[in-house]
Amino acid sequence: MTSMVRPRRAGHRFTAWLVSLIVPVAALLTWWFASLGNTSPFWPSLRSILVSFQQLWLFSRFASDVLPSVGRMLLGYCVAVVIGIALGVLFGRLPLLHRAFDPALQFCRALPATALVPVSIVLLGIGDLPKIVLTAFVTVFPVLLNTIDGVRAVDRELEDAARSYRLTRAQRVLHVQLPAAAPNILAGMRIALTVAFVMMVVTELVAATNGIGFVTLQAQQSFEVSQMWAGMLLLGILGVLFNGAFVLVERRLLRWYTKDRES
Amino acid sequence: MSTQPTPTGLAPAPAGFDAPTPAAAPARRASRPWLLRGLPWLTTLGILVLWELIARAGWLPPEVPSISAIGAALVELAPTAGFVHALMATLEQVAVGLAGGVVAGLVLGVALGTVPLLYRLVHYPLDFLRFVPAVVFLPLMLLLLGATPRVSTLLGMVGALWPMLFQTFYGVSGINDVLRDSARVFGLRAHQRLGHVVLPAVAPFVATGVRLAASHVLVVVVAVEIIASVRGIGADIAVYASNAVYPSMYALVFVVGVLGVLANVGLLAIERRVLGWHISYREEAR
Repeated sequence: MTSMVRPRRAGHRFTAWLVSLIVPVAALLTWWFASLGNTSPFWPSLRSILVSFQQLWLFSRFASDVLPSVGRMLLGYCVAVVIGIALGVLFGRLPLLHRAFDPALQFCRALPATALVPVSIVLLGIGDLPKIVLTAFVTVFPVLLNTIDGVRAVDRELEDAARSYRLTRAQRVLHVQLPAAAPNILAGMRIALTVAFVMMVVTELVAATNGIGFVTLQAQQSFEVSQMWAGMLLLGILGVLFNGAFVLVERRLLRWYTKDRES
Repeated sequence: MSTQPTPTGLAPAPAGFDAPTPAAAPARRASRPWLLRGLPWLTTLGILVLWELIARAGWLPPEVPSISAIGAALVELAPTAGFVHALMATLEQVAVGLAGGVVAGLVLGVALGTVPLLYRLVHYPLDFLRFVPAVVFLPLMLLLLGATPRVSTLLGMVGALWPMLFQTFYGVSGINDVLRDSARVFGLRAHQRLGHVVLPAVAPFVATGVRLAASHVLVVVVAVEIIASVRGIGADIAVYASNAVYPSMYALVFVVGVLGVLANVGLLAIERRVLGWHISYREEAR
């Protein structure tokens, strides 16, 4: 991908950026003007969508619905990341253990996560806890399996060097194995983040008392169409924001790695 | 964007378990290969037996039936017409969604990969849309189409489109310049270049894309079935859950899990067979 954008003079880069903006700006303008006088109940004007967006999400529903949604998702995600990395290091260092539990792990990974939503409701009800537990359970597998792969692939020579410097086991894990596996782990965490986001939306669509997904579905069922659009818009923006934030963190954490690669 | 090293499809092949590791004594393991080979089965069986025993002892909550009860429910369900219809409905939605998404993603990915201007024009909107999960569109689809299988099929297509599109795009834009130029020097026509250069080069990326797409579609279709009661296994899971028929609910969850495993393992096997000639798979086989 990066090969497509060759380093050029600043002026060219600016033109290229302008070209990239043509379609999105044109699309938004078309949407705005084409929908302005729209009377179809299903396709409200972009203007009214933005009005509901501002009324609904900017502050009136922020504390009651946006924060709980995002909080549940991030909490489940963080729990999954911690457990996934810890178990991943364990399994990665003990191939026999990994081999023993591989079928179970593969089954849990391949199981479509959404099928577990009714199960979690049966077991834990419809409050916050089942959503957090389910998100954590489902997102742990990408992190876990990628960590195992990363730790297993640590260079033998690196390992030997660390050993000959008499690093303790804890030091080897913290300073050698985890950094070496970091690119893999972060790739797993990235997949896990999108999974967590999907689970956030789906759990709220199935059974919830608050949350962005819940409000959006309610709006659909009560024919508040512009509110429904506003909810979808918010979910879309959140999805992009989460990913953008992750990319920034990833770049920061992996700077040593990408730099190394480029040189 | 996306400077991360991984999702290229050419991910390093997992080293074989027989590869000597410093952690375990390789000589002893090699002398007892049957133990090693049987180990995954033994533990899996162990987990199931343990579950059964704990359930029999009454230590599990009443909502979690024993493995034998779940198995019995599965055996009882399997021949019924309701189950077969639900399974067929789910499979049909998954298949149509996957096929539609794969074809659309392939076409768009090749187009974007070969025409840089096109990519430049649309990459912002695409980067926005790819991070919007397909289920987000569910309320709109329900409003427009009602709770019909068409909704899950369409959203399945959306779910399959993005991994397919971006995998194909990475594959096409990563084609070696020398390869591309020599094809041109040899005077290959556009359609010949497509068939003999572009498609073989992107085949592994496409294969990975299909595998990712299949699991995405399954997640989306099951979600739509559960949320909107669209006919299929997901809807049945929800019905059994709300009627407290727990063994049947778990049996169906197991069936869905098997579908997921089959999609994964089956596509991987096909991939290895079809692409055995490719360098990345040859190295794996060594």
